[in-house]
Amino acid sequence: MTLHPQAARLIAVMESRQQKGFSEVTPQEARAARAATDYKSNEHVHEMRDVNALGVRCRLYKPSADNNLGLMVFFHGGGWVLGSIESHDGLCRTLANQSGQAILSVDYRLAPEDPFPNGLEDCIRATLWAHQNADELGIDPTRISVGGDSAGGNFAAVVAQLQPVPLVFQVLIYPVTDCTMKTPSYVENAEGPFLRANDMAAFIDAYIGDITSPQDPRVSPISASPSTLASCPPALIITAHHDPLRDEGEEYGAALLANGVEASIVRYFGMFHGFVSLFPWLDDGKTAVSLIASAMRTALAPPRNK
Amino acid sequence: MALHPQATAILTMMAAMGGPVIEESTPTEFREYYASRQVPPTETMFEIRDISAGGVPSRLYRPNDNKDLGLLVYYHGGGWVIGNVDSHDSICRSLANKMGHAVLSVDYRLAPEHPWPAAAEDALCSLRWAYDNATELGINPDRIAVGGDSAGGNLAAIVSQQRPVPLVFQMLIYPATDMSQSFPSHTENAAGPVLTKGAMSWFIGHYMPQGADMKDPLASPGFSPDNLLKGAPPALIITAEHDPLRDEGEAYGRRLIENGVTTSIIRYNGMFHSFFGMVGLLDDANTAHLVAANMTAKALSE
Repeated sequence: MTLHPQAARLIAVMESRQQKGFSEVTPQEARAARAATDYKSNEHVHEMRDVNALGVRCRLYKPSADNNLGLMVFFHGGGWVLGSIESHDGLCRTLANQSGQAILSVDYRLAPEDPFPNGLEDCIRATLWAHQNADELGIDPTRISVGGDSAGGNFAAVVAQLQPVPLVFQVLIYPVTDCTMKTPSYVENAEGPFLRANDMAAFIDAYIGDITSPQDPRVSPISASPSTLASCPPALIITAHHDPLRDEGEEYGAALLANGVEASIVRYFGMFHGFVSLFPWLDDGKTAVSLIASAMRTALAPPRNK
Repeated sequence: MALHPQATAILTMMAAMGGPVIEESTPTEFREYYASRQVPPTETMFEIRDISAGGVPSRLYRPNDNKDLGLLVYYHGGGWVIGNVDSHDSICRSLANKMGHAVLSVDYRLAPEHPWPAAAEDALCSLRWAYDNATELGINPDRIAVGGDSAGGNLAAIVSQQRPVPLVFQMLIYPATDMSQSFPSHTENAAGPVLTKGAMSWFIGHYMPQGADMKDPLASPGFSPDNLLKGAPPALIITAEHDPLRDEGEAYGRRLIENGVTTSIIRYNGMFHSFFGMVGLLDDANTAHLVAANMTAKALSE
């Protein structure tokens, strides 16, 4: 395994702290352990406030007083089981400031207490609410995008297929697109770093259990029909080489391309699952955040500036 | 995997415009065709001037009047046979403006009129001159980086191993690191787009003299011994999925990491060899320029 030296150092620190895998502890224990390591960003954002989006708690980030901003509805990662708007607060602040666009980060309900489709419903509800309340939020309802990392990338890809409102862009950061766990990168990176194959198995079990088939396109967007894929908005997909989810992210990008969707697919070789939200410690995380923000700036620009 | 629709659109347009097959052309013919295809630059620059870098014609780009700028010495692509500072003018303007640092674009001698190692010698000579003449260039000699695309990435990797002057960063855009064309991507992408296996053989055939050692460190930096890689400046390597040079670029990045060099390796799926030159036309070229400029500027500013 050839990790970027910064990644190797960071993983060594993380592994010295975390003795047990996600599959060996209760969700509550895992959440507490994760939350204890959340870093607190003090980056200034013009406006930040928590809002109630049809019953779903969300946090709105606005980088300026402009009342005609584009919006990204953001779904945090954490295997549908972990994470919150707090865990991704720093990432959302930086993305909002660098892209110059608004972000609505969604605190969807977590599994296993709330399995499929509860979290997905929350994501859809928040997206609908943003569209309906565009004026009050100071955003343009014709310039809404979705994005997320890992399980949040899964939600973003599924919402982009269902299009409860018109969407102009999707950012999928090492997304889960195939809950059958059959790709070669699952074998190659079964032991991580950071995310292991048995962690993913535990997450998928917590989220879908016996409720639906792992081939259901609402949990595995790669199983969608060609016509659904063709209807998707342009995409930016970021993958990490040392990640069980690498291949399904890239295969989803290939499926979008094969159906005529503009998909930019960028792989970071020395990196591992989670590197983007760890950007304060990783140069590659920083360039990935800049890349995402730049793509958002272009895709969400007012029509006259496109 | 498929190509990005924007790539398909550009490649379709290029195919419709026609043009000679490189392997069936003379170097002169293909240089003329390559020059005729150039699009005028759209970005303005604070200052551009042509200079002689120790006898090597070069072009200096300065984004502002700060006299203590960092410098990226840039080697253009074109298989050591075609291309010049004009063909890569847009790339250099974009990088200089995005970095906020100066760029020195080097018009090294081309093969077959000047076979290997003339290009590598010019690359080293111009770099040494920039270091020695930092005051004239208005740059800080302790903040010099090198970069290049394709054959220029080959030259940038070579000078980063030789290090005639201290270097803080190397930016390698789909670099050629293996003159023996031994990696699988040469077969996978033998038909291109843009760069074919046959075109690469044509380039190498013109550049490398009969009987030359393909694994010489001044030709194939990917085969250099570990001691030349150890201590090389931090690197960014950008590759394209649909490119014969993909695997050798990524393999070189892994060798740098294994030798303790801080190296970022980024692959653009859906893209092809030369996409980096299509800044302003391809979204992926725009973000690749941003990544390359940000990382280089950070190294030049530290």
